This record gives sequence, C-alpha cells and structure tokens, in this order.
Amino acid sequence: MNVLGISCFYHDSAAALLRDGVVVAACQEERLSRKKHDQSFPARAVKYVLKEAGIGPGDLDAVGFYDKPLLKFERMLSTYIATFPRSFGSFRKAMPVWIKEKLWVPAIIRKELRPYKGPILFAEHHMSHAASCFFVSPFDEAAILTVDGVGEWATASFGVGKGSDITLFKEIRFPHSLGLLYSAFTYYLGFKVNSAEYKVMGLAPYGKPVHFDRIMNEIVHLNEDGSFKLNMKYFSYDYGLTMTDGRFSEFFGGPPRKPETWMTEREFDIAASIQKVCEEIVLRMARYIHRESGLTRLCMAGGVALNCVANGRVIRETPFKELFVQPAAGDAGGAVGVAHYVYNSLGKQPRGPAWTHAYLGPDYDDAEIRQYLDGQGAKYRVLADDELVRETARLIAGGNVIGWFQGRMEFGPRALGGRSILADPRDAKMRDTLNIKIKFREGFRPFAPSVLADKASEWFDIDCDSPYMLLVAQVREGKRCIPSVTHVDNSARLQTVTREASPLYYDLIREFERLTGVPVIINTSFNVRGEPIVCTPHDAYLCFMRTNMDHLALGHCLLDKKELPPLREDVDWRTLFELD
Amino acid sequence: MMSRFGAWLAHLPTHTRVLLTFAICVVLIELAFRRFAPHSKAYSRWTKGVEAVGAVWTAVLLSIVYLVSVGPVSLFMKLRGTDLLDRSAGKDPTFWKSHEANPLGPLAAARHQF
Repeated sequence: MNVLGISCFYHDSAAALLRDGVVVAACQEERLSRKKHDQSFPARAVKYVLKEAGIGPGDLDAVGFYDKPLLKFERMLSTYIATFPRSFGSFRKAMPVWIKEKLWVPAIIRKELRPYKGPILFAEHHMSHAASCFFVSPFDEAAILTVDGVGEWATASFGVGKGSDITLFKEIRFPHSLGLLYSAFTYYLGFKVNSAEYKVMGLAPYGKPVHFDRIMNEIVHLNEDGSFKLNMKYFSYDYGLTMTDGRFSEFFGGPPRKPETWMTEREFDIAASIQKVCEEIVLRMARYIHRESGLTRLCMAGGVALNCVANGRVIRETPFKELFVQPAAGDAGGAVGVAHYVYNSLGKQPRGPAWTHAYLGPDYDDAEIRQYLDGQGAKYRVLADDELVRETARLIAGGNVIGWFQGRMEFGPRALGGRSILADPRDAKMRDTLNIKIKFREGFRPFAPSVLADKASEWFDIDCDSPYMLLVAQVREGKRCIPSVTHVDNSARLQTVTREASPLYYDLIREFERLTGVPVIINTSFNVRGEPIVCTPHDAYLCFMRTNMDHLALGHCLLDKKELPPLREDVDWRTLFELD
Repeated sequence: MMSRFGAWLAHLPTHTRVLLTFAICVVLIELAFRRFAPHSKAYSRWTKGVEAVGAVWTAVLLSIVYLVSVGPVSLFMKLRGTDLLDRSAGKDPTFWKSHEANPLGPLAAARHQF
C-alpha cells in the first residue's frame, strides 16, 4: 500500500511516501526549489518521492494532507471577528491567498497528482505531529506531546500512543501559544519569525534571565500543569501583521531591535528570559503528562520540539526515562505524520520498524557526480571508502574545512553527516572562521558537535542517544578541549553517531579520533546563510566554490579548492538568498 | 440577434456602455498579447499594470466585504459579551481543554476538511 503525505501552504512544505508502513522517501520542497522555508505545493518533492518509490501518481492508494484547511479558516474568521477593526490589514493580506489557493486543497492535489483518483484524507495538524513522532519511534506505547505555533485551533496537545492507535486527550487553543510566544520574542529581537527561533535559543546563554519573573507575572499565566494563557494585550499576532505591539515594547523598555544591527546585553537578557520561560512551560507540561499517563516514554513533535535545550531538560529533569523527538519536528514532519496516520490509525495496519536515521532524501551515485564534475572541468581524486575517510580525517585534523556530501540527504532541519560542513573542534578560532568566512552568518552562533555514540557519555553529560541533534548537554569538565563546539555556558547541541546509521561518517570520526584523540568533529549544515541545505552535487559544488571551504568530499570524489578553476558567475550570489 | 444586442446596448446608460467597452478592450488586448506576443516586454508591462489595478480593486472589494460581513458580526458578539478567542485572564486551575473527537468518527472525519 502506497500512501503519500503532503504538508504545505504555511511554511516548510514537504512530501513523504509510505510503502506498507515504511517511509521510502521524505523531502522538503525548499531543498529542491532552493527557496528557504518554501511553503508552496511541494510538486518537486512529490515527484522525487514517487520516483524514489518507482511509482507514478496513479499507483498511490491514498493521499493525506497534514491539516484541516476549513477548520483553520474558521479560526482565522473567528480571529478577524474578535479583533475587528484592528484585523483589517491581516484580513486584506490573507484573504486573497485563501480564496486563490488554501481553500482549494483537494482540487490542487488532484490537479498536481493526475491521474490519481483515490481518496484525499485530512488529519488534524496536531494529530499529524503526534503521528510523525510516535509511529516512527521505537516505543510500543508512549505519551505524546506536540507543541507549535498553531494548527487549526490547537497550539499544543497531549495524548497517548499505543500500537497503531493515537488518542489525543487535551489541548491548548489559539491565541494562547508557546510557539507564537517564542516567535513574538524572535520578532522583537530582530530575527525572522518561523525561521530564526533557533537563533534566540543560541543567543540565550549569553544573557541572564532577568525578565523571567516579570514575564511570568504579567505576560504568561502559567498553571502547575503546564497549561497557560497569554496576556494578549502585549501581542498583535492575532490581528496584525507583526507579532508584538507598543505595550510589549514599553514592557521591555524600547522598540524591537532592527534586523542586522548590533546586539547588546539587553537582547541577550531578553533571549535568556524567554528561553527560561519556554523551558519552564515544557517541563511543567511534561511532568503533568507523566502524571496523567503514568508512562515513562515520551514522544515530542511540533516546532517547539526543535528547542533542544528544553528537550535536554525534559530528559534530565522529568520522570520520563526515554524521549523520542521527530527529527523533522516542524511542519515538514507533518507529511510523514499524516501518511502514518492514514496507514496505521485509519487503515488499522501494524507498525513498521522504528527510524534509526533520517537519511530519506535524494542521493547521487559516483557516476552522476563524476559526470557533473567533468562537465565543470573540475579536478578531483577518486578514493575508496577507507582512503576517503583517512584523507578527510587528516585534512580536518590539519585545520581544513571540508564540505561533506555523502549518500541520501537528511529529512528535517539538521545536517547529520549527509550534507554537512566539517571542521576541527579543537581549534578555538574555527567558530569565527566558519561563521564569518564560510557560513556568512552572525558571529554569536554556536556550532554543533558530532560524537561517536559509544564515546558520547565520556565527553558530554548525557546517557542517551541524540542521533538527530535535538538534545543539548554539558561538555564534561575534563573534556573542554573542544572550544569550537562548546557554547558560552559549556553546553553543546550534540549528534551521536552510530556505525549502523551512518557507517562512513562514523568511520571518519573514528579516524579523526585515532589521529587526535578526540572523537568529536564540528558538524554544521552544508549551506550559507539564507540558503537551504544543499541537495544535489551542483548545489554542493556551487556552495563550496562560493565560500572559503578548503576541500569537498563529493561521494568518493575529493576536490581541493586550490586546484579548481574559479567560478564564473554573472550575479553576486549573496543576492540570491534572502537573509534568515 | 446582432440588432437585438445593439438595441439592448443602446438602452444602457452611457457610463455602463463606457465600462463595458473598456472591459471588452482589456479582454481583447490580453487575448492579442497571449496569441501574438506572449514573451514580449510590452506584455510583461501590460500584465504588471493590470495586476496593479487588480490589487487596488481587490483591496477595495475586500474592504467592503470586511466592513459589511465581519463588522456587524463582531459588533453583535461584542454586544453579547462573547469573545471567540477566549482572551480573558481567567484564574482557572487548568487551561487545558478537552480534545473533541470528531462525531463522524476518524475515517469519515478524515474525508472532510473540517
């Protein structure tokens, strides 16, 4: 049975194909369209997942859409009514899009998937999130927590998954939303909403949570069970085109920071404060869900589940013994979720194997790569696996920055060794080099380490796996010789690497350890600021040539920048990507 | 047929005839561009101009819809003291709401967008 899951028309559109309960392929549209957070119908991603499965649209048995558009529309109309006349601007901007596109989802799907004639099924947004984490988790039974900006009405929900069933029990409803609260602060701190929330998380350790009590007293009414209401007089996201209004600015003593301007202690402290609020809410929710369900395993999804600092605290400070976070916890994961919901819950089918990795995107064999490189006139060496590992590890240990393009592309926002930029974490200057000369991004942003899973607890304060880079742990005191991946609070957002999930990447880190004694390397996404992570050899080659990376391992081909002809471009590539 | 159409046209008020003529001209120009010069700069400029006019009209129409439909309902709700968004600063011991299962049942509910 082939089920196609689709998520689109808000942000991060994606498609996933499930065959007999197993995800054959999943891909975000942005990787193929090269438009960050692309929200349009994922026509390219659909084409790719069908191709990967070797089928056409006519071979599909069902198509699932990740939310209920009419319920969302109802929520929007209710919001316009409740906030009249201030909602005029938002109404005028949103309605044409709804009338033209969002109200006609089945028609659009039928048009894009001709000659498909089967059913189109709709799942609630938070059910899609819940299914996206539970059905791919290794747990037969688990509590489920989903938290994001907003779906139809729900902004957070909890339930229990058992076998092929998921039951959602409770929810928090719009406009009271932890995701939107965090986004409001993201906006106020001068970052892009629905895109740069992770920057606020990265900024937080630089400051002190001096506003925490004020926020909790005045803006957030939080109960012991993690449920909360927001004081909406401080926000304008319910009616306007911005997230916060004048009262919010007054509360924090100034207007929102202008994007790309200097940051001061004030911004650091505000980021630290909202991060602490977020963690407090998630922790209380998790404890409540544990009390209610009596279960010791938790699955999480929704945009807020990408807050790996909060996730780390959930596993350390709540009674939950095991935690699974969907690697594509945001809306892209909804495509996987709705496909599983249709197959497992509605179809009453038994579950397939749990995910052990997130390499679900396109891959390119050596013949394709070599053909492309030959077309570019690029000089390269073809190396066997063991030679490639040895040579790349030697280069990294020698202070080089490597573009690492291997196997299938990752599904989700993190690069996990398929489309990564790798470097030596022992070099204290490497963070600045990577931020400024290679990624062209803000200097404060930390880098994440990939560590051999069997050495993780030796180097970091963690006793569970973090294969999807969604947990933050402290670097152990005797191991602080990796400054480039150690944040100012001595934390690190780590990825644990196993040989089963990623043999070549594992061997590379193992070889690096043999050379240096350190089983850790810097792993950052293979892209520049504002650009989606690279997907094809062409994307990788362009990104490599445009930046100051030293070498590129493209499949088994190893390229040295010094030996390559300069790239001839008619346009300044920096203008191609909107800053995130 | 043509004479009946001509008579009908002659009976229309002048401003309606002007508007009708204008609309027919726009459609004819559009069709001509599509047929004879779909990739020309002139067509691109024409499209931009028409889209700008369309944006203004959309704004005008949506403003009317907003005032005529959203306005009265909102007023009615305010008079009744109903807040569709539940924004009151309540002191309830919990703000969790029960998740309401769709009365149609999971499979039937999944066939609908609501």
